[in-house]
Amino acid sequence: MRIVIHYLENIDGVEIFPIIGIIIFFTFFLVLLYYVFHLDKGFVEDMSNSPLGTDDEKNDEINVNH
Amino acid sequence: MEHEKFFYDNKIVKFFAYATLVWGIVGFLVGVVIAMQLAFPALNFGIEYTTFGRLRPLHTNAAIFAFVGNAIFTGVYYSMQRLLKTRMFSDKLSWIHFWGWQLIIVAAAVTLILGFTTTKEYAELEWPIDIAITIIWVVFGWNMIGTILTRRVKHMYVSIWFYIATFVTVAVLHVVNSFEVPVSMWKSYSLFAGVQDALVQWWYGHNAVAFFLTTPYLGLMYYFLPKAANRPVYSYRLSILHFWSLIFLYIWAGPHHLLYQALPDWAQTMGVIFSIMLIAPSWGGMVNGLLTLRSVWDKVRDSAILKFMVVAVTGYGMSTLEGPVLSLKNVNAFSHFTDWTIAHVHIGVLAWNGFLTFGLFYWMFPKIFKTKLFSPKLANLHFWLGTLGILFIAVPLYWAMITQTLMWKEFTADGFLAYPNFLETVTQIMPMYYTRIFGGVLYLLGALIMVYNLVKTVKSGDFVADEEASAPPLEKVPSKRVFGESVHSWLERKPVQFTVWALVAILIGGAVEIIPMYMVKSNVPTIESVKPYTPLELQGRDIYISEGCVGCHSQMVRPFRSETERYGEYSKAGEFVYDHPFLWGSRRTGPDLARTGVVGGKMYKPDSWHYNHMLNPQGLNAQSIMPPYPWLFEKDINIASTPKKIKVMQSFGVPYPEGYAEKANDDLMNQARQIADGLGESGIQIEPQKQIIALIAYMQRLGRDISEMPEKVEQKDEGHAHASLPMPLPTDENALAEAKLVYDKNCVVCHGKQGEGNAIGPNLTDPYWLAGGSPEEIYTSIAVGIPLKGMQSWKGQLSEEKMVALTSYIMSMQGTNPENAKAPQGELYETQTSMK
Repeated sequence: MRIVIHYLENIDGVEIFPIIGIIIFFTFFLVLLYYVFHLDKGFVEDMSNSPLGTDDEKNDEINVNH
Repeated sequence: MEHEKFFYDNKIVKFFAYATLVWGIVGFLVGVVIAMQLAFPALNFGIEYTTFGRLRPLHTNAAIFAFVGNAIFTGVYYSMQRLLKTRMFSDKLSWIHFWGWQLIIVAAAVTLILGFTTTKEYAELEWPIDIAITIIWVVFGWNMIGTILTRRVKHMYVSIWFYIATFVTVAVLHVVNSFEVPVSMWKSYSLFAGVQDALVQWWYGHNAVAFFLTTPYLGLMYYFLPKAANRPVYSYRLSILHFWSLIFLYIWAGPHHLLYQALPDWAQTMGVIFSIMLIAPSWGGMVNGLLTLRSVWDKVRDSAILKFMVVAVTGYGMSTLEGPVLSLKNVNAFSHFTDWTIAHVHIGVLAWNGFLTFGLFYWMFPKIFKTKLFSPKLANLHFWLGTLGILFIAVPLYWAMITQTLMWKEFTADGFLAYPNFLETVTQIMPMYYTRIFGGVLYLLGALIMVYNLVKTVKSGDFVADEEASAPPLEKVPSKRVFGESVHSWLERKPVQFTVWALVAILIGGAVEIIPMYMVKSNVPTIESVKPYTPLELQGRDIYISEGCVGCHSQMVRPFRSETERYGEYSKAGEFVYDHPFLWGSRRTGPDLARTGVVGGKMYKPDSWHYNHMLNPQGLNAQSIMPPYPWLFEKDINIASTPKKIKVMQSFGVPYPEGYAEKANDDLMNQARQIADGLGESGIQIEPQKQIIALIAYMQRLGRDISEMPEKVEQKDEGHAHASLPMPLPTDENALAEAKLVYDKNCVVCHGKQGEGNAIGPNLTDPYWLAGGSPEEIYTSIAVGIPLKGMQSWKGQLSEEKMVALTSYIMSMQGTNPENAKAPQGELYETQTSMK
């Protein structure tokens, strides 16, 4: 991409911005991955079920088309 | 523990749902109308309020903010109350939110039609509406956070996170992209200029897609998909990963909308890398959605609801794969400015947003009306019509993209553009545009059937405005992490902290992209010859903005040979430093206009051409799809606004001399008179204060800063008479017939079908010539051109052989005496001299 103007090259160390960004993201992602796989199984199950509800809503009729 | 009794507010849900249906139909209908305008330009009706340029932003805003916006609120208000086991925080806020949003939509529709626009895509609305949006958005957020704080469940389900991220990010995006300085009640100038403005706009535009069309819908997906399938989400762990990586990564990818444009290299590269990385969380989400349905796959056959949802999630997967592909530089090189972009957004909005909304509505309406769906058969019919509609819109557009981009980039063996006339590439894709209309009609028809079906359902049902529910109150828990509790599950019960961290995540990406851009201003090597617009050009530019010309015409020549050959010198960042806002555009339905003012350039046309073309485009090019703009010839330039506009520009640092605001209108009228006088010489009578004059001034300014005016002397005296024919004139029938084709394609516009001449170019059939009538002189006029008079140089577009044949053909027109012949101009040239 020689022909696109590199006027930002004049800023000292502009490439530091994307590099810092990528480092922050990957660190964050690895930490997140660690946490996710160490979550309590029961807790995860509870959360998964929260949209389905228990008491006030019936979810028996998926077949509204019949 | 004792259960508390409370009521879900279904009434607000119902109102948002009705608004969704109404605006959805409006949005689809306007879409069909503008698709028809592109195929049949007569449907612009020559009325300013119904031209494509003004209806296009109306369509996009109606689809995104009216249809999808109301659908988001429908789903959020329904699911949040149930996920948090509480009524919305405040009924009053709910209703302010509802009516405020509808008022904004109405105001948007009216102002866009009236031509009040900032031109920034998906942010076209002018500053008073921007302020209203901010207020209503805060009301929505306040109501939502309030509801979360008064919840009866300990932890927030993943849908709620997506809603929070949506609220926070849209607020940040909207505010930053709306930095503008008002000039009048309905006109403002963007605080940013040129490259900076482009970067901020596409940081916004890209993330409007991310945080208005994607994250809230993922929240809805994580709630309504398990509901419809009656199964929990496939993997809750995956949804945590999906959420955080998505909101973290999305915000970085904005620059991929500006590849190969006047943008620093590192920003382009960053945009590409993060776009590719985005595939991972997006597909993680799609897989999570589809696998949730794994055990009810047998029911998909019968249930229209599940079918809609499957196609919606698949559509999400398709567009989130297509997006990264489009942002690869080598793909973008040929996809950008074509219909691929249009196809891509339609897959996204029609399949992902549209179909998820439809599935959600078919599921929810029977629930809140305590009845069954009126007709599952009609719902299935809707599904098939909608699916076919999407295919009939997308497939022809892909086809059009391939056809047009190949034609743009094709060169002949001699090294000339194979299709130098842009219009040829438009005419070629017309059949695809007809097919697209059919697709739009199918989709609209399906939506109308849904409205009928839901109205019937509502009539048969019994609406429950306040649905009774009960749950134990939230037990007091310590606000610190308790023993054995993971950070994330702690975060999930601390909504405020959660919101702050979500904000931090999106701000990191935003900052990395935006901070260096703020440093740019002092570092752009401003091209010395680039000067601020004259007052007349500035007014012309504002007319260009108001008419939405940017919807079809880019002003950005990318550094490819196919573009520099067609348009001229590629665009430089320094050229745009006075452009508030930037007008690079995103689709070339018509040719690029960045170089229309370069005298002698490939795009240059004389004032008289612009005059006639804006008045009646089809009169010059029968197959043109541009609408006519007759009102520009009747309306006066709003001269009273000039001083204020100059002052606002000065406040941005545009170097007009001090005190220029008061004198600006003198300069404006002087320049306008010059143009009007020039037109008068071509036999066109027009008063100098008409809007068309300002627009012509702006057109003739584009690109002129970095080009040199050809010297007048060179034109006639030197060079001209000396050119000699590179080969003898052909006389056989075949060569003449071929030359006629070349003439019909390139010369007709200015010299008439039979060479009779018109307001733009001279008569070629009489023995009077402006630049000499000998074969050598005619050949030279074709090859070198007479740029100052508007005759362009053809040697870059036609081979020598063709130009010689054309000379021969033009000479054969002598003495044919066609109808409407223009009065003789120039000097008499005697053909029967001793030369032969």
